[in-house]
Amino acid sequence: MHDRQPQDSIVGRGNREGADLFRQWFSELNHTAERGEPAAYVFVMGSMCEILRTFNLPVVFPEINSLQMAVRHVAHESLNQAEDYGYSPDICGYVKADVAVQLSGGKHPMAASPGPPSPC
Amino acid sequence: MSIQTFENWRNKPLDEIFYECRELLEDMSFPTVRRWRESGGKVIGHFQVYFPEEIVHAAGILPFKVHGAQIDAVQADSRFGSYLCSILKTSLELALSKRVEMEMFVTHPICDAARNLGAVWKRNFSYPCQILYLPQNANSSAAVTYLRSEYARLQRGVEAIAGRPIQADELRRSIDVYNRNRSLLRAVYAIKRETPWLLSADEAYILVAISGMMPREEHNALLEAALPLIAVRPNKKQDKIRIVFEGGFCEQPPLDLIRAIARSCYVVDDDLLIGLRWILEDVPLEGDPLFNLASAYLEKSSYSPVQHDLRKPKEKMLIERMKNSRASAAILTAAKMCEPGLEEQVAYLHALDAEGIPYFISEFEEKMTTFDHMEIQLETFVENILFS
Repeated sequence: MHDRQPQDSIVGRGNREGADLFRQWFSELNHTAERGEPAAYVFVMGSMCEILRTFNLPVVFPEINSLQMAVRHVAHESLNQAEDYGYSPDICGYVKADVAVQLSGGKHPMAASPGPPSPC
Repeated sequence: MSIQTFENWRNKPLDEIFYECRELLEDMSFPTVRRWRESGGKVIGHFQVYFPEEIVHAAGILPFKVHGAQIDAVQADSRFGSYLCSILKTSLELALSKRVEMEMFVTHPICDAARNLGAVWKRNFSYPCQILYLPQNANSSAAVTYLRSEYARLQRGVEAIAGRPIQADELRRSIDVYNRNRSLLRAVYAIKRETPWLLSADEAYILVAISGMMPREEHNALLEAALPLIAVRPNKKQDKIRIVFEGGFCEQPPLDLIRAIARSCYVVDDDLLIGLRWILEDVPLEGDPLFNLASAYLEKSSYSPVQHDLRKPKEKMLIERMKNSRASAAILTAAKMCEPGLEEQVAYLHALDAEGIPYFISEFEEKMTTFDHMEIQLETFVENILFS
């Protein structure tokens, strides 16, 4: 049986701090959604986040949203919801999971997803 | 360069003209392209959906519309994942199997798969393979200027193949030829819309589709001969419903599928090979021809799931297409694994539901050979409309 690593150990620090960054980021999205403010929906690659941040636009990564839904085992219901809405089983699951988030008013297991007034 | 590539139809009655055209369309050795090359001509292939063929035509090169084929992707299968649409694979197969040889290939970033087609093509051939970046944001005030510069870049690539510069007057002459062709294609669609019993969906498709494999002057001559013969056909109007077919903008359904639909419906409008009919009005001949072509692409154009123009929401455009053609139902199809087509279907069906317009949803693949199941479903759909 392994001992737990102390919090200041270098082993596992990437995971810990990565998870912390994730929580901060989703928390910001939550606050944005609560205030009804806009966010920018972007692809992970080539999203020019620096420019969007300059304009105080938090970024939403639909691909990451979908991934998180799969990690948290809630994607299946979302896929069904999108397919009930009309999306084909042949369409990529990432797209359908994100459609379901929008259909349910931004409901996501990690945070409320703000509206997408600025698709990039 | 004046090379005649397709003469079999001349001095023949209409039924034989259709027969010869169908034979040409289904001949996977592409005899028109072969004859062109045997006469010393060069060929530039371009992938779906829209391509400014005038620029290639002005250089005396044959633009060949690459839109897949009903062949087995024997070699191309190993170049792509199994989850991709068929048209990508069969298009590359045309080149790998040397059914069509060319000096240059151009694709467009219309979807993830097509965007990568250029690089895959490039790895397999030594000739230039380009991506023509049509504007992603059609609503930007800079879109026309940007597209003009893209066309100028394309023109430089074409000139390198031709080994000479393209003069502005040559481009104007080519635009004139294509304006004539677009006008004739509009006449074909006017017949479909106003007197669909004179021209079945499969016949109209054949007439349009072969334009992408021959010099456009030849196609103009063919349509100029065929249209007056169609107008005086003794066909009688039948008890069929008027439908719009949507979903043929990129991968093409098999001709036999279109024929199966035509057995129970009048297809009064469609988006089959919409790239050939993308520009809706004559492109002006005065002024800068590249600018005029760029402007027409954005300002005088049809719609498809691969162009995103906020002035043309696709579902509203479909409703407009249905109203303009007085269609009473729609057939919504998509090629297997076609993300743009399948995604747009959702917007289409919600818009049709809101308007109370009946629709039939289906899926196809260019390699399909049996349509019995689809035909029975479609007949039931039609009877529900006719007898309800």
